[in-house]
Amino acid sequence: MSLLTDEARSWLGAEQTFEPWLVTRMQIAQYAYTLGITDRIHLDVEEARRAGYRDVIAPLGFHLVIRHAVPNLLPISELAEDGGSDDMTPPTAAQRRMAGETSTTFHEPIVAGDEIRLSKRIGSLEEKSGRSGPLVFVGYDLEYRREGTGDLVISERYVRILR
Amino acid sequence: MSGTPLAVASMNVGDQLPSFEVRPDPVQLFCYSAITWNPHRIHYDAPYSRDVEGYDDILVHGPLMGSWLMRLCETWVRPWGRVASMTYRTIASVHPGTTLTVGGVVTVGGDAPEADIWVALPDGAFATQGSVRAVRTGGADGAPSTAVNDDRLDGGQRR
Repeated sequence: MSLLTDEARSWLGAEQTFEPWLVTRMQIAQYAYTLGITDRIHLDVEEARRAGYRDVIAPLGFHLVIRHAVPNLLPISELAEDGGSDDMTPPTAAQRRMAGETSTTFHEPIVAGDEIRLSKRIGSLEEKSGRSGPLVFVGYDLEYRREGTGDLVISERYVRILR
Repeated sequence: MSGTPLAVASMNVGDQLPSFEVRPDPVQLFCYSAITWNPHRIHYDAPYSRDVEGYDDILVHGPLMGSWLMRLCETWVRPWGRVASMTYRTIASVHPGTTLTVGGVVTVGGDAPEADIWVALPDGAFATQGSVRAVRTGGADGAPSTAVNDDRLDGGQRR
């Protein structure tokens, strides 16, 4: 049995660009406190400016806020029974989806006031046979760019496994 | 800062990264779901997780383990450089109440150091495993006041 139908295969190369995400001091503080990070350059504008930044800087990892929030910005009636959303998952008979490997390259720090535009592309799509049956590996290529200048802030690749 | 013992010691193969312990609880999982706007029920709805998805309890988010690894790496590199890239994947699902060790070991020294990194379960098995590449910048993008100073055993989650 194969999970990867011709319809699913046609999703290779599919692209999605989201509306720019305005990074606020509040979001940075919420992320830092959730992780137990109390470093002042994430929380205190004056401290951040003394360290040479425009505004408070986001801890490494803050981009995960954007990556996970953006696909779920839907009317609540459009979320699935389990609370999830499709998030560019090719249609297959798979019952479960799991997170595979994530690779992230950091080009520049994210700073409060930045507008970050996330774009996503399905860069690879392949089926492999696992012990429990067929597995589909969907590889997503992500770019996080600063609006205005278009500077690449973070590039990332992550794999979603469908089974 | 680049002359501190930490900065020197952290650049040699075999040296440990500044590891810390965390014990995620439902409050931390709630906050992480909220800030990442993640409505997925397996992270807050225990009856659903057990009865429908077949887990023993709610699950710690895979990305939260990635977030801890990035905190580890940022703490490690800030005195002397910056993180260039990171790779990680989740191996085991984790329930709240589990004490986890977030740590790593330097595998390549010099001006572009590399390290293996992990989130380990109490028995030492990895829940998440990965690697990091850093670049030495001589501390130019880090001010002396920028060290992550929350080294409490519970990662600031004591209740």
